[in-house]
Amino acid sequence: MTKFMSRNEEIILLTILKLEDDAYGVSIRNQIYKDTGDKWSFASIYQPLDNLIRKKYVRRKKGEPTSKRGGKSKFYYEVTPVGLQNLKKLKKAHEQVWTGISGVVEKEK
Amino acid sequence: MKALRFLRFLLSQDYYLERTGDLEEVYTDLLEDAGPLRAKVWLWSQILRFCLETIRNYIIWRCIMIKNNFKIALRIIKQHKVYSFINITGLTLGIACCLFIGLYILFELSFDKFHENIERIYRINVAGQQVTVCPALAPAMKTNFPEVENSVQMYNIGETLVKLPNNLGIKTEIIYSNEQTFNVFTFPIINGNPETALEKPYSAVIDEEMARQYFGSENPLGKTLNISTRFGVDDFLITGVMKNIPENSHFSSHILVSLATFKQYGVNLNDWGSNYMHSYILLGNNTDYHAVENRITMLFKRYTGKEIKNYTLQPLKDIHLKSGDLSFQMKPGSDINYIYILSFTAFLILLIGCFNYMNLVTALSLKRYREIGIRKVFGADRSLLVRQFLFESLFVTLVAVLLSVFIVFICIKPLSNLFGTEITFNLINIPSFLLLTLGIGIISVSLSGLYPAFYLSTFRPADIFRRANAEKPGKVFFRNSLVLIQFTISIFLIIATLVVTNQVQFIRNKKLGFDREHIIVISVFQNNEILDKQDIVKTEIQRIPGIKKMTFSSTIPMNLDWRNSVDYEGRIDYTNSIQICCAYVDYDYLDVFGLELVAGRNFSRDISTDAIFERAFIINEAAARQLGWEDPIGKKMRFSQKEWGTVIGVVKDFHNLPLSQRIEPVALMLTGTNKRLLSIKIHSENIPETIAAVEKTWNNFSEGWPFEYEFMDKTYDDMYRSEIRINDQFRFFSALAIFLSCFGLFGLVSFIIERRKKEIGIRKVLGASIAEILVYLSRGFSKQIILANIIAWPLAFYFMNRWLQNFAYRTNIDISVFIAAGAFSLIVAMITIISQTYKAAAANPVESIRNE
Repeated sequence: MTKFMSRNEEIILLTILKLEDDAYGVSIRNQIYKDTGDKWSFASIYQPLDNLIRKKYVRRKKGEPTSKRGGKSKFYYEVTPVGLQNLKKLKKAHEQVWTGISGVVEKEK
Repeated sequence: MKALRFLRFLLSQDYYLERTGDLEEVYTDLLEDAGPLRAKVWLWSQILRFCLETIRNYIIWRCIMIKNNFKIALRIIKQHKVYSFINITGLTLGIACCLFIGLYILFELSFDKFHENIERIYRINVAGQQVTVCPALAPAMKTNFPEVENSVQMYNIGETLVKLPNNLGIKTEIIYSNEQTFNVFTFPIINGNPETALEKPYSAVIDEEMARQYFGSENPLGKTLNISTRFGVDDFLITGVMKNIPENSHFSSHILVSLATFKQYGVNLNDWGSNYMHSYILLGNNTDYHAVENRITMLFKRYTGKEIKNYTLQPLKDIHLKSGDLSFQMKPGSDINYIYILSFTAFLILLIGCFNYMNLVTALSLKRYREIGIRKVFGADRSLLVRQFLFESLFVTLVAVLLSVFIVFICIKPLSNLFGTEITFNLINIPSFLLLTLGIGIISVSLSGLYPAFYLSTFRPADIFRRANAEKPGKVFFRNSLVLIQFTISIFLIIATLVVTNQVQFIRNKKLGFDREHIIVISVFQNNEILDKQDIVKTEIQRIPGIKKMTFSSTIPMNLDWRNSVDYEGRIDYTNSIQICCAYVDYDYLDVFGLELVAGRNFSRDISTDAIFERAFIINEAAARQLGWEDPIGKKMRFSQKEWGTVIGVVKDFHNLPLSQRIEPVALMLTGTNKRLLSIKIHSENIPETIAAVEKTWNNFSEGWPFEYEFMDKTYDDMYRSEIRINDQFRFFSALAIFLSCFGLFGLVSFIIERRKKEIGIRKVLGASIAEILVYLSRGFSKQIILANIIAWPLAFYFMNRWLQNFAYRTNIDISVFIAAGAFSLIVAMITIISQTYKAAAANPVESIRNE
């Protein structure tokens, strides 16, 4: 049995995929804001992000420092093949589970 | 960006750079868009969330680990049932003992602490002598010293007869006290006006208990009590009801009556001469009491012209524990040294319990080598292992603490008898009790848990798997030293017990120079019904068969401590005065107590001058020596500036003071008044009948004074009850210590035997006899015990010798005491060891060798 990642982890993983080469803390946070309308705190971004790293679903890469950041380097994130595979499984499972139910949910809206 | 430095504690270098970088980036944007205030607020809220997140994570992981730790701890306890039982019992007894002693100490320390002005109240003492001073002093200090805000004077007349309106007579303690009592001391008045309650003569304030007991639901205010004192029999009006004076007060009384009554009696309260008044002063805030103390001399000089230097102020909070041998205390105090001794003993017992734990856990660790190794292989770092072991000792200690609190709750009654007081939980501050429990818990965890935790966690996995059954000699040495210390403590306590027992025996058997057997003593203090008819009472009682002799006197020979300055023939030194202990007696005093005359004669009814007050004295040898008289008979002496009296006889020295003090000069004088005690020497046969007959005669005269008597030898024992108590306690503690030590030894030996089963089997196969194996196995331990003896002896000698120095008359510490303690410890330890080794030595070697 595959153990699925949590919903927060899923959102972060998808955001990283969406941002491609520009996925680092601030941009991830902004993208999530754009997509969901919620302003997440950095702590709640990094908590699932750390979990993803521990599970080896994402990789961390040191980037260039900028003056805006007080001369500190950015760290970019990218999804590993393992992460991608897991995401695919998750999506498949989602679709399986949701088939035949979506109508009911929409009606209630 | 100072704010970000907070995160330095939470994040490692790499992550710190990244995350603070992110925060700074957004912060810079915000600074432009929303202004510095919003930006700052945002930044701080982000930092706060980082912190919360970290804490949340930490707690989640800790909970998971604790669950695991707990599971392992339970498994270990279950796996080694006997050792766990020994550990928990040892710790429980040690902690319970500590807890109980702690309770007792808390009780002793709580004395008088209920007064709101505790820090500012001082008692005036005569340094080194007594706690009462002359009545004029305290009021004079109040008028002359601005620092002295208030003063209370008390006169303690002790027990006396109080008749209630329903004509029921009871004997109860009464204290005369002035009108400021309730302003200085905290004795809440629940009915009546505290300001005026003790203002008028013949007013009385009773306590709640008395009010309830004798007046029930009626309002006692306005009722009268008929009180007999040595000043007469008078009616007192009840003007107030106060809360009961707590047990932990340095004086106790059910009734306070107004000191103003003294004026009605015609007593001169402006007297600078005789010291009989308990006097307390209330100083202003932040006053240096030594400065006030030093000015008392000046004050004295101004009023009396005399140079008297020995008045001191004693803080109220010190009274219970630091009053020592001062005379006329209203209630016997305790001794701070005694508190120290007790706390030290408690600590020693706890130490033994903890050592048992340490010893067994480190020994058992041999069995846990594999567990530790595997944990390490799977990546447990040292701190994790330390945590595991600490958790185990924490768990065991927690169980022990809970059990011991339970034990203390159940056994508080019998144990407080051991301490001679009734300790109840309502007198003790519950938070401080909890704090004490916590403190003892922490001490025992750190004593017993820390070493095993750090020692076990240092094992290297490779070593562990390579030599799973070997142990470094250093560790064996360490364990042996713990056993050594335990036995040293036990032997020390045994010797202490024996020495104390010897001293108590010595006190009991000491020839005191007077008789104390078959003498009954009845207090007739204030009892004018009897005192007015002394001669008739004497003749009437004398008629009873079984009565030998009887005497009215101010005191009995063993308590002759009322000192007065004497003026005497041949005096050269007029700067220092000689103090002589005085007693008022009658013609039969010497006969009743069997005091031996060495020169001169007894008081005689035939010589008329004998009967005149202070005209004829009988002194003791010590007095003759002190006054420098070779031949004292016929010499002149006087107390106060009255007429000279003549010494008519000299008695052999007798112990007029407790054995802690040397024999002092004594003078006996005849008088009709000022008697407190009736002592009757009776035949040793038919004692109950004789006493019943005396009571019958007594009741003919007493007008309601109950017949209450005590045997003098019992009174004598009571005088040494603190020594007897210490003796009982030491017996208890040393028994506990040796029991706990042997208990630990038992565990250790059975563990060692278990590990050496095969060795023993092989030795037997090769022809060793049971006896040889027994000797072989117990040799190491006997060496320990002997060494413990050698260490304990000088220590015990030193400390017990110091304790004995408290007594002017004492036993010697005999060598037999040491030998007895040594032999006892050795025998008990050997029984413990052999009970374990014999089983192994006698077992069929086939069983032990085959077993694999």
